[in-house]
Amino acid sequence: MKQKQLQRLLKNPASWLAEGGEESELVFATRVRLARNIDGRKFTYCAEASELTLVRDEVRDALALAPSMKGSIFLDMNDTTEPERMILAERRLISHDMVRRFTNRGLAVARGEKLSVMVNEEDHIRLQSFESGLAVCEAFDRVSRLDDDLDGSLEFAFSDRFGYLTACATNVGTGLRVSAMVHLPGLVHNGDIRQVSDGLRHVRLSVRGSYGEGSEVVGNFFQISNLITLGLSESDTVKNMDSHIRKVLEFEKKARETLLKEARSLLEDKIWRAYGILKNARMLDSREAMGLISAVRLGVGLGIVTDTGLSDLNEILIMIQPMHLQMLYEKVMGPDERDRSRADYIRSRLKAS
Amino acid sequence: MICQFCKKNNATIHFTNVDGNKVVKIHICRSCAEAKGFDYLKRSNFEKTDLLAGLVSSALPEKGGARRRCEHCGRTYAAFSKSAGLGCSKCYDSFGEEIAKVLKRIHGNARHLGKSPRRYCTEKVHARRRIRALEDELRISVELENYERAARLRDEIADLKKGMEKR
Repeated sequence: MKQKQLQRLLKNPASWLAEGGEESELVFATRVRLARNIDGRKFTYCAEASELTLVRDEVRDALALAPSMKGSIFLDMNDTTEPERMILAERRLISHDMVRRFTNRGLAVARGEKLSVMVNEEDHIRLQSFESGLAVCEAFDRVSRLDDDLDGSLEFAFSDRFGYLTACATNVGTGLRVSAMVHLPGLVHNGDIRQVSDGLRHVRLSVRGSYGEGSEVVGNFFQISNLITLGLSESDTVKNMDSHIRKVLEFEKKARETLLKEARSLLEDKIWRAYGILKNARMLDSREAMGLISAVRLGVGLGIVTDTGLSDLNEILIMIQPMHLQMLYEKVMGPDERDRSRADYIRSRLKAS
Repeated sequence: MICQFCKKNNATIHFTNVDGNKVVKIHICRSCAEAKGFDYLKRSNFEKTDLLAGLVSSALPEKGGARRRCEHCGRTYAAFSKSAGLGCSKCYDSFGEEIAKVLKRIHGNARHLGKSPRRYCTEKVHARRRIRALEDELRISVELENYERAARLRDEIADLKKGMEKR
């Protein structure tokens, strides 16, 4: 039963990927997470295995009672294989750290993958919510409702002075991290991306490659997140993030307009060439594929490419990751074979559309 | 690019070392990197950790210094300062004022604003928060020399405080 549920989850990309949503031409996804710990239990840095198992079971039982997690599945990470965990990480349902360190950890996933809970990652509980496009409020409301659901059955570590107590001092207070995965080819092209990210750092936001901490920028995808969790309420954090991100999008739109006005033929040429390579290549490594998809995604956003859509491209971005490819083709593949399968898969997807 | 070590896999990790006045570029695949024990490559958050360590270790406890321990979980301040990671919720009391300093450096603030668990949502807590907010406003009003408003705020605060004592 459980194995079947896991297989179903792994085989089908998250339904929210295809939902579009506001500003989806520029924003791949919005993610909101809340960090919580159980009062009286040691944090994961210090807890012994027995304590972690207790936490895992307590959280699993509480989740079973939570209305917003109705119909969800709970995975004991001890029962998963490394490839399965790698797929979950490529989906952003678990952290990369959790692929290697998985004992006594757990994951709950609600239907459609919009809501999920990591158990015993850095904090006992990490609630996270995904939305397609820019939807900071919606994502926060969903995750906050689950927080309320759990508040009845679990006692969270909290102090009046410091708020929700977390394993790392950087998350204490609200435990709230809002991230938007944004696609900014225009700002990268005109070079303003540096100024924009400096500006965002100035208002204490972080700008990184789309795979989170320490990751590089590929395909012009960036992740913008808030850093401050103490002294700023949830509603102010949500409001600020929404307005800062919209400001960045405004700059990106202007950059795209200028590009169109000043170098339309060059831009169109670049986009159509990228589309041509994607439709015909026989070998594609992931860096090249991401770069080409970035160009076509820009083409779709500008109305230049009309025979494929954002939801297809979003799904392709997920499916061409190394472990997803190996699951799709049902075999273990080395880098060369993966590059071949990646090209095959992309060709088949873009022809069909 | 091919890994310099096994000459087989694709090099996915690239870094530049400066050795004296020589610049050495290294291109390596993940499995060679792991085999060679470049441990920090496996830690995806080394960047964050290093930055935080600086923040935390600059606020050593007066009593006990880096050896100061949380009585509940046994975590030392030294361990906290390596990663900004705490051992249990009691650490926040054990390293109290030092933590407040560190939090202020990280967040620019050391007092929670926002949601709280239901068990904390008593009227008393609400009143205390309201008082705190009004006191901030009062301070600003005085700075702006808006004494009329300051007087109103002062009365409101006094009323709230009286109300709390009755309960």
